[in-house]
Amino acid sequence: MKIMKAILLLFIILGIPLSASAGSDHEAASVASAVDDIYGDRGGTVELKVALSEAVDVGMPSEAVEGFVREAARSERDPGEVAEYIRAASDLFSDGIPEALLFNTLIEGFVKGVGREEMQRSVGLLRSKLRFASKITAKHTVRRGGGRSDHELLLSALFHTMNMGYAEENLKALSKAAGEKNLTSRGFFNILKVSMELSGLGIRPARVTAIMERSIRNGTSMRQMSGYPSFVREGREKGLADNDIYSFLMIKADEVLNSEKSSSGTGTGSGQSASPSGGKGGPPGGGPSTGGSPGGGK
Amino acid sequence: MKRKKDYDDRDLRRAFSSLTRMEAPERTVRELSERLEREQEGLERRKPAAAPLLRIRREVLFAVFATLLFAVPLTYLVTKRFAAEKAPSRTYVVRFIYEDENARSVHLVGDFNSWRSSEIILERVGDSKLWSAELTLEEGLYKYGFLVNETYIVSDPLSGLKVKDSFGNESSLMVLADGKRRGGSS
Repeated sequence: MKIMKAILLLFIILGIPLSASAGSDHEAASVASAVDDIYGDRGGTVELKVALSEAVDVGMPSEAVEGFVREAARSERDPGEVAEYIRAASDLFSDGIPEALLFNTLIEGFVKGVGREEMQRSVGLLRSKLRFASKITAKHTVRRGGGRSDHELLLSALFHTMNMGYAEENLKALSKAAGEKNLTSRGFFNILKVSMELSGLGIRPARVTAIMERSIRNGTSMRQMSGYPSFVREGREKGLADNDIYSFLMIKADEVLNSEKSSSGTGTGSGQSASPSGGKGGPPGGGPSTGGSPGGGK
Repeated sequence: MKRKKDYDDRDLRRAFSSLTRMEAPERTVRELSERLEREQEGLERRKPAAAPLLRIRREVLFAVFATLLFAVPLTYLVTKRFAAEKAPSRTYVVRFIYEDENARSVHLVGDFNSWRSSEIILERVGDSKLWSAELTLEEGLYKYGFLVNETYIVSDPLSGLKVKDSFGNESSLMVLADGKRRGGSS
């Protein structure tokens, strides 16, 4: 009986890690053989294989890594160079940053024919942006709850917001205000979405930050904030100058506060006056139209 | 540093053997025998715990062998089969429109197709200058552009959301997410 117990215990203790390592070894081997398929006898593949094996060891999905190598090879990138990028992605991945953000940006660079030196220079910047975005995301998803998809969505939004010209200070200010108002991770994501839209309409990131920060602190509803871009478009159509639009938006950010004060004082508050006139259109910026539906997934 | 011996071992042994034997004091003998007894007891107390471990060696070897033979492949297969899949996310049907009278071909490239030019082709709408394609995408943020005549990539003129990539080029950004948090697969 004791022997049986010992065997069972060993099954559990040894079985799981061994099977996991067997799985990762198998994946690493399959990715390594894919490198041979992709690059053939070309030099520098040993370094790439080592980088791939490390990537699989930290838990990066082998399909994603293999796909990245294929794209790199398609753009005739040197295996040694690709190894460097994979190492950078592994490093980020082990800190909880999904590989897709870095890989997509690099693939975009390959397709656009960006040179090796420029790519290598950018990787450092990309890493620091992603790390910063991850730090802010962690604050919101850990404190306010939220699933993995919310986490990735917020991380991605922060990263792209930075690519739109937002400085770390801008995002820190928005994050702080959102944190103080106990906004959920999805709530903070929505703030960023509106911010991006406003920047897309030509309002400078520092100004957008001021508007949004004030709105959050004043407790402006998301519905009201979603109306800001329509307000800017209307203002532009009417020929208002950027400074005027900015001033009006700052007034709008104070509207809730004012209406609350007036309603508590005289009882004649006007309520929420900012209603989006544009209605539901496509995604922010008026690009491709979304007809779809939040359907039930695949 | 090793010092050189200034005596001979045989001489030393001879000198020791010539010494007269003395009786050890009774107290010292008693203390020594008590100490030996204590150490012996200590060893025996440890024995029951250590003994099965030594005896079990064969069983352990068998268990390790059995684990390698059955548990590893079994657990691997089971974890592969029942691995937690990512919860399905919301999907969006997106229509892309590009206007260009002189274009001979227009492809849609972006994060969603690894910027691969051959995958999504926009079709000309009748005889007009409009090109169009429809795509189903999951919730997320995507950078994209149009590859015109298979030579150059332009950002979407109809979209106000533009991002500079890390290499100084401009792409369009599409945000597919509604304000509400996703709940399960509904």
